[in-house]
Amino acid sequence: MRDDVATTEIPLVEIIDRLLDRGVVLAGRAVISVAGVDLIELRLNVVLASVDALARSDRRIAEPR
Amino acid sequence: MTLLVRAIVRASDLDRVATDDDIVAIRAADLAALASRIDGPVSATESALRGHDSLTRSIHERVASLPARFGQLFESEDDVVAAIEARAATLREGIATVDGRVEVAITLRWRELSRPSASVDGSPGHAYMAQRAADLALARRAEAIAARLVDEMAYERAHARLKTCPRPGVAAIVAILVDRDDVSDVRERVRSFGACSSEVTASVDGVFAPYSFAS
Repeated sequence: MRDDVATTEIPLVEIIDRLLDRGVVLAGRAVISVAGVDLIELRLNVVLASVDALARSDRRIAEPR
Repeated sequence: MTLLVRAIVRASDLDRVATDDDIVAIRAADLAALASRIDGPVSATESALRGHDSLTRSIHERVASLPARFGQLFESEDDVVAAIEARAATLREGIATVDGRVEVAITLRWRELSRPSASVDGSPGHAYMAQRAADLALARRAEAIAARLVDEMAYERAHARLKTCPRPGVAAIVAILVDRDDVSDVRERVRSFGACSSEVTASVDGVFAPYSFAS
């Protein structure tokens, strides 16, 4: 549910951001494909991240406190 | 056949979660994973993502759960058990934190400004650095507005996750972990915050399973 003035379906961009960038991560194997093309396959420690998450991670590494 | 993990729950709550041919429960001591049996790789199609979102939300409506990041596959139930046992303490703590709570996402959109334009005469490098500085200033402004929102919501900062300037026109997205009974109140407060702000509008998405608090 979305509250602003109107109520609409949750935007896909919000779903993607939430499901691919957040949520509990166990060790496993991830094969993510889009339009039938395998984009990424990782074994053991899974790291799935949106471009934005990777950029934030890079910034944290580059700018240690 | 592989197992696509959907969520982690307390084993003692399993009798309150419907399992069937599509969803299996895999116990690991006092915890359990809910997973789907699937063939081959998983595709991040819109229907698959919305299906995962719907399923994790449905699970969390029934019991305290940690929704799984989409796309984690395991070859066997033994592999799932080993993975849960390796993180058992953290998972228990996470489930306790989200118990009785749900996540809502508040989107703050700039009323006018989408991206600052730094008008600079000079080299491309100078223009790039000026633009970066302008972007950084905008992000700080967005962070200050979002912090004010969290303060006005009277929720603990530990129960808020902030992402500033995720895309053009959006100042910030704030995920907040709220008590189930407080959702309507939160929506009203957000509406009031947006109405009073000259800088941003505010809207609420959700409720979601607590993805932002399950990492």
